[in-house]
Amino acid sequence: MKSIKMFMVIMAVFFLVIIVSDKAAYAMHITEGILPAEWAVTWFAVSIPFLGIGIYHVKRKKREMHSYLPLVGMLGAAVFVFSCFPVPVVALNGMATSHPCGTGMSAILLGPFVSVLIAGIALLIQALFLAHGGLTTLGGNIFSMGILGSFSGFFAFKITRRCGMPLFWCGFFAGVISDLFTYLGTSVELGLLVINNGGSFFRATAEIFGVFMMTSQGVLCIVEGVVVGFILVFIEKRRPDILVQLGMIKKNATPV
Amino acid sequence: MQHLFKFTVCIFFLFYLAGMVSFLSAAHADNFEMIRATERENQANVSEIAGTVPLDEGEGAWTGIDVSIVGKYASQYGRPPRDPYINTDQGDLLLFVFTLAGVIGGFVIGFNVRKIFYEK
Repeated sequence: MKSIKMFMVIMAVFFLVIIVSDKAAYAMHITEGILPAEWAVTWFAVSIPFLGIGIYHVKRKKREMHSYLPLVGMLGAAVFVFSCFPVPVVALNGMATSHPCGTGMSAILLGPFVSVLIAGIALLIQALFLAHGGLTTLGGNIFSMGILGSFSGFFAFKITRRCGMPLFWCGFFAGVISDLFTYLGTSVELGLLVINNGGSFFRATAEIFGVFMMTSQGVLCIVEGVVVGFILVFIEKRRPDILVQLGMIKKNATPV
Repeated sequence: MQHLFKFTVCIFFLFYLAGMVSFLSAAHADNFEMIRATERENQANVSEIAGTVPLDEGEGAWTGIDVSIVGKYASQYGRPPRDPYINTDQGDLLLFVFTLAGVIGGFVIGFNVRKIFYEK
């Protein structure tokens, strides 16, 4: 009962910060109208198969695992909140706000395809009601935050786990890598715009990614990594059976 | 396994450094002055976002990076952002929808956390 009260207090403070932070909740999302029609269609075409496979995985896994749907609900809401949560960062060139993505965490716990699905739903709601992202750029945002963020985080976790690293550090690297790949994806999508103007795609992409890194993500990716690491450690301490069922740890694994 | 771990760590730091180096190369390129002049005309000054001038100059502190980076680069490449189709960014309406989204998101997270981690 005491822990529930503590949890409620933490949640209240957390969402008070969101409310106080008002409308500066923008970051990596590509805004409405930026992508030309051909690229908007391309990114939709790339994203749709991942969303379909994600729906199939949810339908299959909810039959196999009792607490899978609550986990999807919790992580879906977490990805939604994380990806419109403006974190103030004092970086090398001043003060800015940016947001974490959360897709690394959801990819670890739900699998990368389901993570793409919940990222897509979160981005759709933000585009419809929060003036955050856009409907024509939804495919592009799903590609960067959903697909690149989820798969990079998932594979980073798998690789570090195979190296025998502690769970915290596996989550840390997954969070960091997924955040960086998300912003790399955004940089690529913006970099592709210069092709029509005869510019250098690689130069533009490197420049934009470099500016992202120096402005906020160089710091924020570390923060996201720490958060993901702590969440995994919390789950392992509270409900290790979930991690066993998801195949993340073995039944008699040593504690972190 | 040790080698794989070292390899992973090296890749990570290379990736991290690549971002730093790409920034520095952009900032110190020979034609940096030319880039700055062009972008001043377009009111999308790279130096402002890239670090030679603090972000808060003319932008206000704590500007979201989609405005200071995504929007500026998109404008520079001839694709300026437009208003959303459902524009809630009007007066306090956006504050209302963000608050509502925060409350609903918080409820969903709290409900499921309790269900998964605290109920027997």
